[in-house]
Amino acid sequence: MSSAEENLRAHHIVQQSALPAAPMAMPEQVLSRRWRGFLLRPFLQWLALR
Amino acid sequence: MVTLRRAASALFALAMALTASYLAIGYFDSDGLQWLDLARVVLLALSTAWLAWGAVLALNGLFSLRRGRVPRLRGPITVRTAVVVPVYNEDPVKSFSHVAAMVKSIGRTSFASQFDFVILSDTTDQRIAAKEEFWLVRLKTEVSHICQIFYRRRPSNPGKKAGNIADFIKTSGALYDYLIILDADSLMEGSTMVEMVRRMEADPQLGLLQTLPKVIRARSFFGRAIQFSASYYSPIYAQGLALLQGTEGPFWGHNAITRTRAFAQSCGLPQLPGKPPFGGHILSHDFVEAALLARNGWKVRIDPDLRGSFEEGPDNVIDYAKRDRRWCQGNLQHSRILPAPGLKRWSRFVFVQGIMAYVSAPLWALFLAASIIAPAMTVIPDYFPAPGLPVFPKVETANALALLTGVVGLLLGPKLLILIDGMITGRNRRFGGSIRAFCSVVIEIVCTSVLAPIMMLFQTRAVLEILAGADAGWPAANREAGRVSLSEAWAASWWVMVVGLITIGAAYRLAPDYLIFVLLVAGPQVVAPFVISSTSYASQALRRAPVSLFVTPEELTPSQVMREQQNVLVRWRADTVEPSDSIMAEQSEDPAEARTSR
Repeated sequence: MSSAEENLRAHHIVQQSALPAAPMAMPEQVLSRRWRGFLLRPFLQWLALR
Repeated sequence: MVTLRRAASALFALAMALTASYLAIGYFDSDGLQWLDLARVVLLALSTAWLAWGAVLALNGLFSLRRGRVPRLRGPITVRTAVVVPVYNEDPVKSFSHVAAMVKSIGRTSFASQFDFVILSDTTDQRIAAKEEFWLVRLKTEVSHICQIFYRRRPSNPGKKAGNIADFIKTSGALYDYLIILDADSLMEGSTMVEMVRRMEADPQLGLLQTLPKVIRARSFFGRAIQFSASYYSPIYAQGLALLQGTEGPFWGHNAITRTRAFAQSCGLPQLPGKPPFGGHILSHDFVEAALLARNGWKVRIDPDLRGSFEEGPDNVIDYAKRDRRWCQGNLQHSRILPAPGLKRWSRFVFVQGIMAYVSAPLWALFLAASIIAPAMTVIPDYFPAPGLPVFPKVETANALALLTGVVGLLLGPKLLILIDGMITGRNRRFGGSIRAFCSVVIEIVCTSVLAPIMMLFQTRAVLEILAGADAGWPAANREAGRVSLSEAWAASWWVMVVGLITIGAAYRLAPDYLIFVLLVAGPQVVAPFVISSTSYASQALRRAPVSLFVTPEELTPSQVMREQQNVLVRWRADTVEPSDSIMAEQSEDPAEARTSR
């Protein structure tokens, strides 16, 4: 096999290695706790009434 | 039962901490209690609790009833599994030889058609990327008739390794029921992979199953000491860990199987607000993924009885410290995730343990510093508090000795118990017999005692750097690192030597009575460059000694996949001429060309 044919074959093998498409959802997880908002809520409500 | 075991273990650690505090207060009070003494007591209590927790893991493992081999499951496998190998600027011939060996190993089972191998490259170096494509051709030519092999390279690598795997799940995850997640240096027997799939099938609630990978292929004195330690002690500690954590177990990022659906549903990691080291992408993602799986009701388990799972480790102190720096940053970053909503209490505790693993180093360093300064702050005793006969201060030497014995006992006791257990159960035979195991344990303890004060300073520096906001980045693992020359060791550790000299000088001036104890810690620090350099050399002498040391079962009888990988690597290196770097660079100049497989 010539060098060009060898390169073409290698290129073909690499192309054939592409990942198959079968998507799956991966939702982003919540890691932060909204405790500040919880503590501030009564104050904000009071402020909104002013 | 798990709750009871956890409570008993925590009580043991607490009792040890309280006993140490009681003895320390008695000793420090002999010349009057100062505020610095109280600080020393707190530091000692925290450090002792941490040591006792390590010891309690070993005790749980030693006295567990589940130590025998679990019978292997049988039956057909109809589900599909992807064996995922993330690579990042690794030596392709080496990592692809691992893949080839594992493909051949799975080919020896009856289930090869149920497994695909997926190489997920995050390589940023264009020349290495071109080499990856070159060796992919060789790999596929040789083994693609056994299993399908896929390769993809991301043009950029957001989210690092966790992002790499998430990208694969989002692209192709729906094809696979399970993912076996490996590292570039991982090796796993095909029969082990099959058994892992069967165990996942046997329990539909099991979200992730972690194996205990054995460290292999160490060459240097340091590497082989770590390898022996991982092979001899770790299974017992892991057994203890397995009993304490129940179904809220660990994920160590590789050599594990996960249910794709559970992982996708639970482990989409967000960026943390702010900049690194505490913000940005989550560095030690594996602990977080385990916690998130448990939060969603999935079981996470470690099965230490699963054999045929291997990894490679750092071969010298410098590479070990570099890895430690990355892990340290990752673990300290978990302080941001600690209050995350809905996490199991044990998961939060695991984060605290991870943080303590590194914070304990500065705690010990502070304790040492306070102990050197304290005698200088002692108030001169009043021998005549009242007219009449003098009153001499009581010297509580017994307290000091009990304290020292206790701390040394917590450090060495578990190792010696594991040695005795090996003699009783016959486990030592797999390590070359009880005499070899005894000699290896003694030398390993000496080696650890010398290295621990050096590592204490590396870890203390890492913690301080991270608290000051320095980011370690994401260096590629240097798995084929060779010897460390004295000049390299000097460049990396001259400051350790300086700290050691200052410590000795301070002890000589301020606390001459403690100088001998201080020398045990600061002595190794003073010779740190020599220790680092000399332990990085191949330990042929140890192997040739009349009683060869640090022998492991994996060295005595390498498993089939280990032999296969070595054969493939030697053959590939011998009969394949890799294109030179310049040709690779030319080929990879066009980024589109370098990503042909996408």
